[in-house]
Amino acid sequence: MQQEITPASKPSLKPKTLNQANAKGFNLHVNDKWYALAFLGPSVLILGVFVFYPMLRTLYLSLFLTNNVGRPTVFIGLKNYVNLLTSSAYQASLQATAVYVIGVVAFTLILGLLLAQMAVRKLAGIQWFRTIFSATMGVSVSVAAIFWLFIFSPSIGLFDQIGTLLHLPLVQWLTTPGPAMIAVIISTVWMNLGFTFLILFGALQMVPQPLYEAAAIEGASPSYQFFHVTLPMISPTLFFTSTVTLIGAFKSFGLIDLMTAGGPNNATNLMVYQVYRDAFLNGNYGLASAESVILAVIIALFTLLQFKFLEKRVTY
Amino acid sequence: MIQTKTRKPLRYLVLILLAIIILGPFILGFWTSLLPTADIAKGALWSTHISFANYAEAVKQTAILRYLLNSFVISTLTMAAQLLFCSLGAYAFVFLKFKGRDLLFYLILATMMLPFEAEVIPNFATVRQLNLLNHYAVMVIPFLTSAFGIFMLRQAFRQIPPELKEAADVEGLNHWQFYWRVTLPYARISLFTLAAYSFLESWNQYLWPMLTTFSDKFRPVQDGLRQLQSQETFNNWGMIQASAVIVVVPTLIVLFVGQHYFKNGLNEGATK
Amino acid sequence: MSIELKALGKEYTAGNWVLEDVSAHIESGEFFAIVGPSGCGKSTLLRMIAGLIPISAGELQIDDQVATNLPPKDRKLTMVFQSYALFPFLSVTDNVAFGLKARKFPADEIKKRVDKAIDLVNLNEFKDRKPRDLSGGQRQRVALARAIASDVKICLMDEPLSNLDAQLRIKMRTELRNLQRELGLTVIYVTHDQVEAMTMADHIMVLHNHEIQQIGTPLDIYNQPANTFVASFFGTPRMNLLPARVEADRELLLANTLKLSVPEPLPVADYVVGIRPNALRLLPQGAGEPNAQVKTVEYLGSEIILEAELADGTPLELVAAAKDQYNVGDWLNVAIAGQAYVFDHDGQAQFMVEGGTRHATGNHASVQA
Repeated sequence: MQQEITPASKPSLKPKTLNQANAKGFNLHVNDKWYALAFLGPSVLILGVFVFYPMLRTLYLSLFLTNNVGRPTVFIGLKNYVNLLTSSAYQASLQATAVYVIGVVAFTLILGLLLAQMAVRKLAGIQWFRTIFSATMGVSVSVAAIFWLFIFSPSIGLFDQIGTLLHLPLVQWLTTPGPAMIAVIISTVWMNLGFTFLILFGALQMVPQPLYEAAAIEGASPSYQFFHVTLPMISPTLFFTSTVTLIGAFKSFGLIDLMTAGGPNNATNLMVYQVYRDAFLNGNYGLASAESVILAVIIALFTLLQFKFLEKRVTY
Repeated sequence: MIQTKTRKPLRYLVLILLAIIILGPFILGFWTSLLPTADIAKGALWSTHISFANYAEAVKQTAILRYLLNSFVISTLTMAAQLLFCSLGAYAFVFLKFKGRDLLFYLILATMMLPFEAEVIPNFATVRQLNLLNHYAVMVIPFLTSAFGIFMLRQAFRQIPPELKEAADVEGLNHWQFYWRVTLPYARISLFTLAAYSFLESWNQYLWPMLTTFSDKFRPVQDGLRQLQSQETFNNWGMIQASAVIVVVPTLIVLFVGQHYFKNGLNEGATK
Repeated sequence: MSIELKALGKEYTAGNWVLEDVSAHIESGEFFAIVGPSGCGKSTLLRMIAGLIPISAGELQIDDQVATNLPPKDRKLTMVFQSYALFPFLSVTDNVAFGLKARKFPADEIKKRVDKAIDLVNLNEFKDRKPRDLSGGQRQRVALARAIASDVKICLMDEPLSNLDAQLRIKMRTELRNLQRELGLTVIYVTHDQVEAMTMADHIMVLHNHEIQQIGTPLDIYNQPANTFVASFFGTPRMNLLPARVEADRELLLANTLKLSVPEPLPVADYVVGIRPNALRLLPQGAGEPNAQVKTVEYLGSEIILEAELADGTPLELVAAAKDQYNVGDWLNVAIAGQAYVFDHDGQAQFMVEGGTRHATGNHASVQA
């Protein structure tokens, strides 16, 4: 298809002759290829150079050993993949990612739904709460990391101070594996909540009020209404939100880099962080490319699933 | 409904609790940014030594304002470029007829599946070869357009009634004129949403600028904060919090001003 | 299952009453229509009865039990919504079974009732369809089936036919009425359509300006309207309302043009006289002084509706025989040939005159219905 739209030497806009104008008027099978070139050219070029090419190149590199500037040297087939999947360090990274992703998605959805459900009913001053609940959308990743770093920091941080007050044993949040994972999950969930809240809140608002009224008259308690009216009605949005959150969690990097740098003891060494380490700290570009491919495949699968679902999705 | 009348106080209680959880980190960050680092280090968070000294120090001793400016320049350029190129691209997929249109569209749609994070290795090599490292350009050029933006605007343009196009054809408007005079004004809400989205997306970039910028002259704010946090100022919590607050306030303002549009746009994206 | 409304009132903000002093008694098995223009509070009243919005003043009794503050599910009633309020993710069967499941009925009982309800509304072939695969009329029936399946005897209906096309609406009127009789339902039916109320209801409550204008049988309401609002709201084409003043001892002059003799002397004051278009007669050309000029002519096939203007400019609607020929600008000679309703200057009915004799009207005869 590239040939059709990019015969490169011609000017993008031909002067319009009378003939052409006539032809346009009477021929229903117009071909706007010059316009198409002008309108789409820039996008196709950028996407080609920075999305298509690197995808192929990453695949290619993943089959090679590379030198320290990332040039392929020796073809080794699928050896990088085999090494990765049998390496306990990489398995640990996959496992950490899985724990992180599941934790983030579950808590983001549950809390986001709670926030949305609380904010959707009319009440005096509810607008203030709606604004507050969406506030973390304005928080960038480093700011979130710095705020939470302080909260989790030993002895001076909020959690330790509360712990001391209540005479609880002190937790070295960011320097013990389990708590460090919990800390990054909490921080990520907090950062996600604004966006998730807004989306779910919008979905809840779209549920027609008469459905609840009918349910109430038919004898459904508030909790029955929530599970048998609210949840089914917003399930498409719930699904959308969960895949977006899930994909975002797979791509997490900044928060990890700032809060734990993958530590302690690789406990929070998530997939993207592993790519970064192998490529840009260890100079092992071939291996890092294989890791990138695995990451891309996982994310592509979930995105596909989402497309598939949204496509089939019923429009009420 | 009748029975909820009596539950009002309870609902306010839950709402306030949730609000505290959400606002807690903001409040704590803002509060400690007003305290002397010495007090923070002692854990004396109820200190009364409140001042804006940390802010003055952050502005004087660090490049935080420069980082903000850099991010502002980068995000604005990215946003403007995406508005232009995504809308042009989307227009082509809706109003132009050419061979291979659907195939091309699906190819672009497919790129939405590919995370940029998985492609940094070749992209890094590319920008190094193009001599773009450590410059605004390196953070703008790869993001001049986006598959998501094209997809979203295509959905918006498809809502334009075909009669408008037919009327424009009768009037003799060419594609440029129809694009400029009808399509863009008609889809302005979606354009606004894309603007906000692309600006924030660019503002939140972390990994890519971290790999490609090495000097304060071009470093955007996310990596600027990383720089501050990892340098000698590591334990200067007061100043770090002040810097974080300086960074978060503009985005919060933008968010609340544009809240209405953003909310609508997001939900359109989620339901279409 | 009778329903008693005792001086019901609703205020959303303090002192701002959207409904005031609404009292009525609805008999068991009765089809009771609440009619009024949009914004008159009829849906509000229905929602208060359903328990969807709180009652601000007065008392509601259902089946002789005070129900003013009961939650909706304990009021032993069901409701059909204007939008049908079907659950889009449930099949017809599951929609109908929704309430029974929520109330935790045993499965076999649910199946029995649902099958029966679906059978009653003739939806057997559509049991497994989702609402989006049904036509408007079929969705309407699902909503009805859901109401029937709950087996309670009071059914509130909020403009249930207003989303259907005109033909289907007429068909459904009959079906609804038959179903109501067959099941012995007490129906409270809200509508803005006076024809719907007239054709279906046993009793009609007319709401306007936050309060009851009249309650009565369709015939009462048509023949003995309590005030000018009720008079002009019912009947097509609308009743003509003409300003009138006392001209002679036993004579009113309407719109400075038409004379109406009354049986006894009236106090000197301003009056309004209502005459339905079909109570006006067109005298043959040349039979007297022409007094009205034709402004528009509307052929309906069986008859002609004429909009005319009396000599002093007051508009007047008339019905003429289809065989006659009228043109815009023609002068007519119009005379009163049927019932004329005399209202005081506040619009309250005083009496009705027919052929010079006086009859009582709504205000005096049927408000207590």
